[in-house]
Amino acid sequence: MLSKELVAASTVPLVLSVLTEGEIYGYALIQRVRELSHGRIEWTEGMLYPVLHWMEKEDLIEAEWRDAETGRKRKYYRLRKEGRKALQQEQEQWMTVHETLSKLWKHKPHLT
Amino acid sequence: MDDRPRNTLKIMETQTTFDLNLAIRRWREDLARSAAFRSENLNELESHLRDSIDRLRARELSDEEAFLVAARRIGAAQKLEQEFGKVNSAEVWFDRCLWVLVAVQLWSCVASLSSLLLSVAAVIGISLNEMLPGFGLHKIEMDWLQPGLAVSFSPFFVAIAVVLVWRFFIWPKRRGSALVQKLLRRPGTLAVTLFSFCGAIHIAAAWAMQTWYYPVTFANAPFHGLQWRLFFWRLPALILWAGLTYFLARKRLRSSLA
Repeated sequence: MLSKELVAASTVPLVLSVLTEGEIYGYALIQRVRELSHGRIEWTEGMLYPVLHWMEKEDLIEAEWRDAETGRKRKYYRLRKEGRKALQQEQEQWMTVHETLSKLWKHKPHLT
Repeated sequence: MDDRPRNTLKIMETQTTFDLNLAIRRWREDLARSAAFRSENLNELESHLRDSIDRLRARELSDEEAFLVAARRIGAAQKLEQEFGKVNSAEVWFDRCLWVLVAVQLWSCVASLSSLLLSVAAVIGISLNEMLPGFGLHKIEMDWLQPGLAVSFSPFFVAIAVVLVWRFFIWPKRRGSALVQKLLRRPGTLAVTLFSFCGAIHIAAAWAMQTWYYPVTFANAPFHGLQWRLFFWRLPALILWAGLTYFLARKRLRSSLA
């Protein structure tokens, strides 16, 4: 389980990254993250939506209501140009942290 | 929306009669009480909840179990309200304005009620000047100082104002009573109720001041319908408040209900 702070920090890059695979609605997005992380990244599901709406306001993503195959309406989210740019910045930052930590941890693999 | 429970056989098997659609509607109405959610947000959350329930039911959970698990996974209403409130801050502020407006109107009623009280006191010959600090203001320059204004300085009525503000500004956000909720769904009724209530009290107060307070207190000075003029002067304000209440309540209705 991730700490609260890390969940908060990683939500936006995770959402942006999942959206590079194509448009998706909230519930499926959460399932996708759960699947990729083998259930280790667990969100309070409803909390994702304010983040999505904030990203929509910031023009990182755009959304559209459409009928799904179940006959139910769903809101599909799509990546925008600004979102791709933001993702690139996020990638650089996360890679910096990742590389630094990797170097430090290389000689001490057993952390417990 | 998907209105029909799919697995009717399972419902027949379980002894308790759990109505999934009713449960979802109640869950949604509970969230809709807060101004932090726009109807679009609620549609999206409901769609999510139903997706989640469908998936859980496919894993042999009963309707009730699926609903409980799915609702828990979405998160507690209070936390959701907090986070959605940050994104929908304009809606939250409109809601606050609405309650301030309601409080202002009720406050003006309190001010008028105090005039009534003064009139009654004048009739039964009790001088409130010594009883309550602030009432002494009525003694000075009565012809230009509005009774309501004078009373505003009284700590007693300030206390009532604080209670009103708490009751209508902070409290309904979380739990709004059934009556308040009903009124909120009928903006017209809310505005008309407040308007007639305030108007009636203003008229009663003006009438009482006219017939009791002034003749007793200023026996020598003649009065020519001053209080009636005060009431009609207030009328445009009352109409403006009622109009604004109607506008804000409608806005809230549009944003928080489907």
